[in-house]
Amino acid sequence: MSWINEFAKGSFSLYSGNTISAFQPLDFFHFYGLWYDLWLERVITAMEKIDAEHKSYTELRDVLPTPSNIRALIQKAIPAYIGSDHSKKELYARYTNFMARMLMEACPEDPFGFTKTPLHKPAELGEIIKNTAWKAATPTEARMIGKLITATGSLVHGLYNDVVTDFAWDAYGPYDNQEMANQKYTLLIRNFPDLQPDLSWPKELEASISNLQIYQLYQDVDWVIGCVGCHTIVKSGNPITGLKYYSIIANGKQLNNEEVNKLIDELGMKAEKIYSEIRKKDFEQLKQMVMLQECYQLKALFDKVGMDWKPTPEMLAAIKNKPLQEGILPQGVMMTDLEEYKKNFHLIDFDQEVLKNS
Amino acid sequence: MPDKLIIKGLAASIGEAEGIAKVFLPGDDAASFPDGAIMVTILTDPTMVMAMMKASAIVSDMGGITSHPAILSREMGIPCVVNTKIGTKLIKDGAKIKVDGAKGEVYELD
Repeated sequence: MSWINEFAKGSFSLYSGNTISAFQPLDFFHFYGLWYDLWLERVITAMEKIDAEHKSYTELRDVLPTPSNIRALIQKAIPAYIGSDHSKKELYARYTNFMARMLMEACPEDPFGFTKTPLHKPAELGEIIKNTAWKAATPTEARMIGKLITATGSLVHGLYNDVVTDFAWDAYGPYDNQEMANQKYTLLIRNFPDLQPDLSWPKELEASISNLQIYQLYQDVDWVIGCVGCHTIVKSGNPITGLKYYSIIANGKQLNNEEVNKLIDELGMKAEKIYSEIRKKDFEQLKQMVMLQECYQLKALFDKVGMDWKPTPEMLAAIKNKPLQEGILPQGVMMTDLEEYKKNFHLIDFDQEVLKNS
Repeated sequence: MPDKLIIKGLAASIGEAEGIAKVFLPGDDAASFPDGAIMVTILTDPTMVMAMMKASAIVSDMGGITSHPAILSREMGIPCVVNTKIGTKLIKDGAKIKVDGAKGEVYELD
């Protein structure tokens, strides 16, 4: 399987548009190498129990996270391997090959999010257009939805941190040329699938809703989504005046604007409080939190096979009183060239040492 | 007389906004952020979300086009310039400024 070059094209946008120093509240990429081998051993065991490597995405989708989250899992496995002692090549190969295959089956049009993050088949899109209770949008409502995404996304940043974000914040599309009443639209779907995670946050800081979906129909707005769903970029057009119809669904129920505005205030304030709690954590607590969040991403898989998804004592011991690693990824550098990215972020090393040798 | 260019950064969210600059840092109270002011910060994080939702534009010292302030400014449809490096040092609290999110430029207004 040769997917790394296509993956590089998609994931390049993560670092051509950001530096790893901007990831908060921990330098994750210099943390995973301390313990990821131990987790992947358990992930592979769980995969074996359901024979996942011989099953299709359709058969496994209920135990897998969102497609953007799967892209992020691959992205993290590479520096984790580089930070490890390189003794578990087969483990990393099986894990990343499996995740890459899941993406190719789930999103054949653009598996690694080069320019979009599609998930739905044409027939499913037709059903969405037909069955959604669309409301006509004004610029005021477009801004309201922007604030809702801001508040919800910020809560997700608190609940899951900066690199597990995609577990609870994905976007699907842009799906161009969707027809409704003889007009063509671009459909964008935002999905916040788990706003009440089992991550030991105080109940009062969790959202009052467990999930949220936002459906948006645009005209004359050209969207690009780079690798992960939260990275939506407007290439041309105005997303405020270009929004024509929308529908906001929380816990399966369509919300009116008054309910949406209440939700914005609630989620925004909870986001601030959760992140303030994170800022109070010391280094040891932050490492434990990040490990727990990372493990949570595959909770459904572990639950399915009756394994405990939480970090093991051995995993916790591997990080206790350990400093972060150094020199795995370049700090403070924004990548401007794809080949330079593949080299400096070790995609070439990973391909040669892990994928081609297993 | 043309507006005076104060600083350039990366264009992160299109649009233009004029307003009063408010230097706002993590830990600052969102209640102290005036409605419609332009947020000037090092890098936004979720502790600043209530203030971000009151801002008419955001200017940050750090970050790229997929950083926290950039992503959320685009969602809210407000201009954003990131990676100015020293915006928080150059732009004074209370200064009247203009943000051009398409060019990645910040101007001082008379």
